[in-house]
Amino acid sequence: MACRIYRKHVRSAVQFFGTTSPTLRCFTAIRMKNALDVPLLLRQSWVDSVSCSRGFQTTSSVDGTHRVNMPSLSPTMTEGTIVKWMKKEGDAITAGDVLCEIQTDKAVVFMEHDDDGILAKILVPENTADVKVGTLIALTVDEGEDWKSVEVPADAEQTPAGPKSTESTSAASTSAAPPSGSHGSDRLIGPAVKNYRRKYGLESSQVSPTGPHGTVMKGDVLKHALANKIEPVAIGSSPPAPSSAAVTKASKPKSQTGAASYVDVEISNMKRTTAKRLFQSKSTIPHAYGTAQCNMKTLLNFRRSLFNGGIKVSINDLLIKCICNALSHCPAIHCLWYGSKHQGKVDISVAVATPNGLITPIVTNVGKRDVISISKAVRVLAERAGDGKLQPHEVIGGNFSISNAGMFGVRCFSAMPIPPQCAILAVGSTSIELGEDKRTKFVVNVKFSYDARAIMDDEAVKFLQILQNQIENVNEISMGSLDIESLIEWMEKAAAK
Amino acid sequence: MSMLPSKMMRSTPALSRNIWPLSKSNAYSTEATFETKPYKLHRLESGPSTTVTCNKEDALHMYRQMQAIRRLETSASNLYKEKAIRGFCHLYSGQEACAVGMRKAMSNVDSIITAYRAHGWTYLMGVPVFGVLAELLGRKGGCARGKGGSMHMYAPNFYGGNGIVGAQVPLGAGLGFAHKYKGDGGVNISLYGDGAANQGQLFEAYNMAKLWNLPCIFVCENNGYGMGTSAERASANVNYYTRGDYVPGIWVDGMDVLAVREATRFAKQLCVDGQGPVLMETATYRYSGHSMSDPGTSYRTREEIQEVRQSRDPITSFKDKIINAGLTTAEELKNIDNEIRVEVDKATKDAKADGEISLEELAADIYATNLDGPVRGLVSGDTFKHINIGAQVNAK
Repeated sequence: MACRIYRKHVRSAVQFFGTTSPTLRCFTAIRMKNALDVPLLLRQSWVDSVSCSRGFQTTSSVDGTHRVNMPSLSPTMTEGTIVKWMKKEGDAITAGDVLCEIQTDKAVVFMEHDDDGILAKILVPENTADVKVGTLIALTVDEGEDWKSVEVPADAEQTPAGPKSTESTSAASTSAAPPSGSHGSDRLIGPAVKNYRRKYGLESSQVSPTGPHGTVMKGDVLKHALANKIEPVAIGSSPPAPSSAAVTKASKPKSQTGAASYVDVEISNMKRTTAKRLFQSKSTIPHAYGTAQCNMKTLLNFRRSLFNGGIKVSINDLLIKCICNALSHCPAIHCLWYGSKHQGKVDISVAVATPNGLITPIVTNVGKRDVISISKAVRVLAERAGDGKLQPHEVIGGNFSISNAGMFGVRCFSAMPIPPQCAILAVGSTSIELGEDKRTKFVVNVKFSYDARAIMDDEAVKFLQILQNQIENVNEISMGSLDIESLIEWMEKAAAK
Repeated sequence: MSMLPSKMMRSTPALSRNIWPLSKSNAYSTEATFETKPYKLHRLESGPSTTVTCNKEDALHMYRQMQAIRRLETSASNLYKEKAIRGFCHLYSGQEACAVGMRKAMSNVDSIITAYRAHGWTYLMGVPVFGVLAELLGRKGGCARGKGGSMHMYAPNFYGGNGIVGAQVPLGAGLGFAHKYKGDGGVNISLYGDGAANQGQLFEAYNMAKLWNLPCIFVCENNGYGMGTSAERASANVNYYTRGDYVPGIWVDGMDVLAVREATRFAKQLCVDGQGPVLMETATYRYSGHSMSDPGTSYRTREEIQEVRQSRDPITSFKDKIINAGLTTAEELKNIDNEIRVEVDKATKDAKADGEISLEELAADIYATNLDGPVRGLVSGDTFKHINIGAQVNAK
């Protein structure tokens, strides 16, 4: 259950602080490795993107009509999903209004419009996935203009007008060029037509359409079947002549009648980013691992004593603090790797499973927090993650990750560090074992995965050793000087009991 | 036109008969009087006049400049979201009245230096829209041949966007010293934000400037937020115009271009009279985030921004003012808007089509006069030939 959301480049941080010169001179860029080697790389891709993006213009005014293109709302965003249009066609817009909600590779953010006008035409409907940055998504006209008569530019047709075309279709659409003859998208085909089509095992591309916008009608299918003397096929058997069964342009998740009964499952942007990030991790990072077994008795006792005092904290919260304590002795561990090593204060990413995928919100500045504050922060972040309301700054950053599957009964597993982070700790479940002293022992397995380029084996070993020590010797002091108010509250409650 | 002559006009029919036809021939009045918000003063017995006059020509000019900056920044924002502009980019939208008002009060010997929110000032100091956008895009038509980017633009008497927070203010004190030393009668204006106002070096600059009575106007453009922190959370004293202690200060409504112009004129006069330096705080607002990587809504609400846009916008309020005063008509301003739109659109297109500089320019234009031979590279032994290509700005 590793966490896998991309961390923002150092570049963005530097950009945000606005204190370092962004000079584009190559030699400066190389000199300032930490901050500017990333822009150098981006610059390469920028040259590419500009050369291919030339021709679109965001504010070109043809007869008071203005184009709205898909914006890049995060430094790494290349495509996004329009989650919701906040304005309807015909609505007046004033500068600063939110036009729509866009899911970037990191979070759902609002897209603001910088100009007054009227939203004339929405060209990309809600829930359209993977709209490339720069795609024309809407048209606006000046105030007082007739928005209904707006002309859609010719190049707008290239935009994915149909909803939910996913990446998985690209393999299919490139494998065979659609046959000649225009036919409308499957979206317009009625259920009766689909039924007949399936009955005769035909694809809509084989039938010459007569309906409006090149839509296949029921009669077309019947005529084709009659003319070619095609017999109805039993549902479940394979479709005839796979070579002629050309792939339709917008192949939707369809229930296949053939042998290959795979269904295309739509992947959320978050999951796709996770996949990208993990691939990068596994293919570019030399992983090394270390496992430690820790006796949880003291920690569980401490947790119970807090619980008796009316304070609920999870094992995970206590472990986060233990990790932080251990990290303070081993500053070599919480680092970022950009070809060289960078270190900062302890910000721990915590893996949270959400319906959209795993996300790792960050508990910042753990060193300054006590375990109660950590617990509160984790709870708030997890809730926001569940609602999909995390802000970019809440998921970007972090220099150590923790992934805990203990609550699911998984005894031991390994996780992958999320670049540019170098380390992640996978925590298993607590099991009861018989100790050497013939007494029961609560044991947890923690598996430490790290980037062997940034962290030396001896450093990792030292960290595990200290971590084990921290976990086995949890006490009020190591869990942070609990803030006075909650301490008093806790003591009062404990005394009352 | 002060109040006195117009009273005289009314009281003496003979005179008014001579004057009326003149102003009537224009169909609209050519000059109007406006009231500004009261100024707040620090260590000053009298302040700038709250009654300001403005003629039609100036009104249209200032309107055009503000609108051009707004549109220029919108274009920059769009280019950034297209990933055509990369790296740093700080927008000026919302603060236009500060720059335009000050510019209007400046003479051609006065100098100006600002921080990294520099696009608007570059334009005001004579670089065309194309030069600014091409610079942002890293193209050779940029005012620093694409090598400076957002924070490093220069023009005659404009000593640049400066990347280091607050560091432009001591430089500005130096420029003020130069004006005094040369005796050219010029005044330096140094701009900084409410965030930079807490920098220690500012107080050193105040001290020296006051010690030597330098002709310096230190302007704190208080847009309410230093990066992601509101002024109230960052400053023990948010009355930035008083923070020069022994340096006199003026607070002015930074959303009113006429008030800013009047206050700058007043401050300038003090400096010219040898009573400089002066501190000025312009209360303003920025609509976008601190930089393009800041959505700008995690430390303030979207409603707050929209409220300012609707009630305090420097362009809209000025527009209403000059239309109501009869200086111009809505159609005339609409034409200006359209002209600017066309100009900026064209500049955007041209800038995108412009080329980049060649690798030979890597070590060009480092010095006005290179006395040092080849330029050292990153790797030991690497050298580059120094060449001069671009125009030398402020080299004398």
